[in-house]
Amino acid sequence: MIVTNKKTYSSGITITRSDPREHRGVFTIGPITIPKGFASSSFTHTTNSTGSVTLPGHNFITGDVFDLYWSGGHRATVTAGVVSGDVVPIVSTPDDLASAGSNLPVNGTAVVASKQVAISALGYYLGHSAVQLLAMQFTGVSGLCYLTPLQNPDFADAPILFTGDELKVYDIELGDSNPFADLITISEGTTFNGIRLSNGSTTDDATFRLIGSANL
Amino acid sequence: MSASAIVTRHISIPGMALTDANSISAASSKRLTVRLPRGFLATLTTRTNDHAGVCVLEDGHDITISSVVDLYSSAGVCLVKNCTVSAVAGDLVTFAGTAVGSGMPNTPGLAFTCSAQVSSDLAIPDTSVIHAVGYSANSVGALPDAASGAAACVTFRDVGNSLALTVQVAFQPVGFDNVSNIDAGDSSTVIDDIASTTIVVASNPLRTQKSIFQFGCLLA
Repeated sequence: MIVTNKKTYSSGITITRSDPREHRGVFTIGPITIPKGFASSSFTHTTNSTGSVTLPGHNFITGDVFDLYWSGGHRATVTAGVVSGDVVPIVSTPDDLASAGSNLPVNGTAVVASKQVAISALGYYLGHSAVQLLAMQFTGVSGLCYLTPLQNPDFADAPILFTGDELKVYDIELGDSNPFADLITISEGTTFNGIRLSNGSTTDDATFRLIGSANL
Repeated sequence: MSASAIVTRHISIPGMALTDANSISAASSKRLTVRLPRGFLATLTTRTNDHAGVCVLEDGHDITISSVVDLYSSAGVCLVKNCTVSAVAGDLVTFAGTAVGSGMPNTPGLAFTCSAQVSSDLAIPDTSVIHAVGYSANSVGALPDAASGAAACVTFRDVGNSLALTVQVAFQPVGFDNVSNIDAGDSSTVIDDIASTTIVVASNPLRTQKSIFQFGCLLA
């Protein structure tokens, strides 16, 4: 299969780098729609990893896993306690993980709570050393993406933060690091990879696409 | 006068393509398009050392005394750079260059390519901040074999003609990376050296066809 990685500079003249490769396997994910999050009307900081958030009009239920966004920070993979009306307690966060992000902000901070969308990436082995090229495109305001074994979310890798419409390209064959490489030892053979995504916007849904190629 | 550039990326496989376009603004831009004449067939008659000797050029060559030439293997790989021609007697040419490149093989009768350097003005102040840069070399006609490693030698020179940087620009479709959006975090091998450039010299590694060298950058 031919994979093309092309880059063009255009300013009076046009210079194009076109770099076609032939890899044995290719895979795609998406387009995936990531629903918009909910804006807080109040936020209470209890500890750096627990608190509560009031979310008018939300659709959260007890036990949901979601991400929090605020100006200058984010906290990934927090769990909803017993939901009561608009109040969603934050009862646990994986504060022992790189994926957690920042400590929860101070009382009264405006936050956005966004439920995670879990995508099965069964058999993709995104972190495998045979992967040659990965490209991920996020269309939206902001978002978090991270790979995790579906059966054990506590092993979530450090999230990839998207800010605005963004295309991230990892040309591993030419020396870039595979952002999912850390997970291969726990994802290969014991369980399968999944991708979790959330959307930091309160007004618009976001979209995610992934292209990859490998010489498996 | 302000300037802008657009750097686009396009990743595709059968069934899906991801594309983005980043617009970059800066105070000014520089651009250059240089046509490089084909090189001439040369046959080594005397090898003085790694980077000097005597050769016979094909009939019709236009190399003269004091010409500055680069020498390439028949596949287009640089052997010796920046050779000054010290004597021309018909087709017999004496050259001495700098120890850049793989060196002249000790092979009597070796066939190689002798290409005159083409010099172009490119005034870039030494205080410039580079925002984006692109450069390429393309043959006018069929591309060389992808595995040949054919690459044009390009030298950026400072005031006084001192060497700033020499890069070898691979011909497509050989893998190379010569479009860099510095503002977006890309790195480029040339950005540290092109500030203060006054002259760019380039030569054609191919004797079967003309080539074109292009350079552009956005700077402040």
